[in-house]
Amino acid sequence: MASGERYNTGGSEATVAQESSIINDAYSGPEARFECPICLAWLRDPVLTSCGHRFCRTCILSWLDWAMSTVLDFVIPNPMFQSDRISASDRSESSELDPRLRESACPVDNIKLKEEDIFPDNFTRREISQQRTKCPNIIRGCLVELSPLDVELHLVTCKYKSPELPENEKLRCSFVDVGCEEKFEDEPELQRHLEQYIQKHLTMLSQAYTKMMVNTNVAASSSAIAHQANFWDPPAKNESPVYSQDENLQGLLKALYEKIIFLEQKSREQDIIIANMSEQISSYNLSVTKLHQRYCNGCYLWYINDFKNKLNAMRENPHIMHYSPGFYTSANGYKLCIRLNLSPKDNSYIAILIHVMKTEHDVSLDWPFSGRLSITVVHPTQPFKSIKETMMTRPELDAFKRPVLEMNPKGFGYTEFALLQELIEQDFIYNNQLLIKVQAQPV
Amino acid sequence: MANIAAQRIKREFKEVIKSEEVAKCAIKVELLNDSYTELKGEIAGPPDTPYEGGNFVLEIKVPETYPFNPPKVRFITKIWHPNISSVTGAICLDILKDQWAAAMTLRTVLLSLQALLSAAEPDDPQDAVVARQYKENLEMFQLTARHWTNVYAGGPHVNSDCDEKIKRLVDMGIEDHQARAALSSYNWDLERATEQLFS
Repeated sequence: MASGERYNTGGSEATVAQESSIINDAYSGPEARFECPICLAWLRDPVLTSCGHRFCRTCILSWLDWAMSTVLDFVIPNPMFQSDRISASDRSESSELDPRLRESACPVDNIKLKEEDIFPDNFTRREISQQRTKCPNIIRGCLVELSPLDVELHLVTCKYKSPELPENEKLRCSFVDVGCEEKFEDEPELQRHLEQYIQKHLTMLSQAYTKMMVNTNVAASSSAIAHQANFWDPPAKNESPVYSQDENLQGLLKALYEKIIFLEQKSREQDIIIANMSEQISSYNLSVTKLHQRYCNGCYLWYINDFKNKLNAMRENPHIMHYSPGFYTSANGYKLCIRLNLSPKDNSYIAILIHVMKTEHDVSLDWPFSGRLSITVVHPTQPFKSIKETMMTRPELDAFKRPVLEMNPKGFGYTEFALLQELIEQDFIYNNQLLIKVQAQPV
Repeated sequence: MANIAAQRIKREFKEVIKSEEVAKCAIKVELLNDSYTELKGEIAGPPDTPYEGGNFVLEIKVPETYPFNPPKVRFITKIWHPNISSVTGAICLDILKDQWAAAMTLRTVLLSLQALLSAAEPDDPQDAVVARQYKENLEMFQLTARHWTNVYAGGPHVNSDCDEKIKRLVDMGIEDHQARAALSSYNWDLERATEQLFS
């Protein structure tokens, strides 16, 4: 098929023919001389026109029928297409021109052509029937060799056919990172694409490069504060050639940085809340102790912690005196406290005295304070060893008068209550703690 | 869509992709859907014409009856040409109508369109205004076509005189393309274009 063709660019024919003999598959197209210009597939039932062109018999007949608009239906040539019938109604819709105005002509050179100008081309038919082509699935192991006309039918049933690749398993163009969205079924297709689109890919690369430069610049300036705080080292501008990864990393770092800031802020807030709460708790504790002191009903337990240190300090300096917190004989009764020191006369003895303290309701009380006071140094494990002394107040003593100061400077009790040595030997001090119990009952 | 049309377009696709014209960036075809019914074509403006340096995008619709009926093609890119509507992009070309033949392909259609850009046929016009200008004032036609190529198809020739006149109309509240179309129709006579726009 050469001379009369209007639209065939002759030069490429030879290369196409060579290619098809190498790849030799029905899809890469038959040699031009075996190709039907209408269906562009292998000639099936080839016919030759008087003007010297070959077509599939059904293709050219359909074309002539179409042009003449005399036939209602036509059958599409290849067996693949046999179920597809195009009806006359389709035609009238899609055809804008009036076919009656048109004489039937050869689709290649437009020379008038009638059905009687078409002859079976048995020579070509024989040639084609001698052609053997390998199944295109040979790369997947199908070794069948068959006539090119049967390839399409075979492909339908070929058990080596590749499953239609899902979108995500298709080969992506290797320039996908710079924005080439093309996808391919197999390697050769990808190769072809890569060869053809060098220019396009170069443009994409240069665009991506410019973008990368801009991005790194922006990132460098926006993280200036972070640099000051030394949160991370800035990535070197020429460090990562793949800008998308670089961008990801930047994004990740930024996100992490933001998170750290957020968490730091939060932990600071929590610290403040905790501080406030512990302050509150200690103030509650204080009031609870005060409540204990007020509602102890005159029976007060004084735990002296860290007793040994205190004792040593008192030995060194006999003027050191320890006072218990003030406690009440009843809710609105007298307020007393216990004093502990070493006896000024003989510092091997401890002195325990009771002092009267000032309250807001002293007016309502009877003065001088009179009642019974008992002092016990409690043994931590063996109660019978505890030392208990009881005494009655003496109204004539200054110690029981209404206090003028916060605490009556004069106390009442025993300056030589017990021998220190004895307390230590008898294991009164337990856990470095001494317990003194005072019971005060106004009479 | 009839299977034959899809099968053929598939085969043609490979043909176009392999062809030398693609390598020279003169023509290009892209699929717009999986069923091979809608495609996007692209042709480069031929050298030594007002369209040189421009890139013209085409809408291609393949009918079910393809290849027995021609594909429906129109210009998406606005173009100033006697055989192409400056409003709709519709093309007056015999092979897209009654001279269609089943042996023609997308490649030959695109090449024919490219040929049409080099050789207009003002006696069989699609756009009467453009055709009249072509016949009466070829220089004006070339100037206008070059300006349109510059504005819509990315051509290299900037015409500051045209831009200036369009800006005057745009300042009066006329839409850019409308102003260009009116000026083009009246041989870039600002007064007459204004008159037509505001009458």
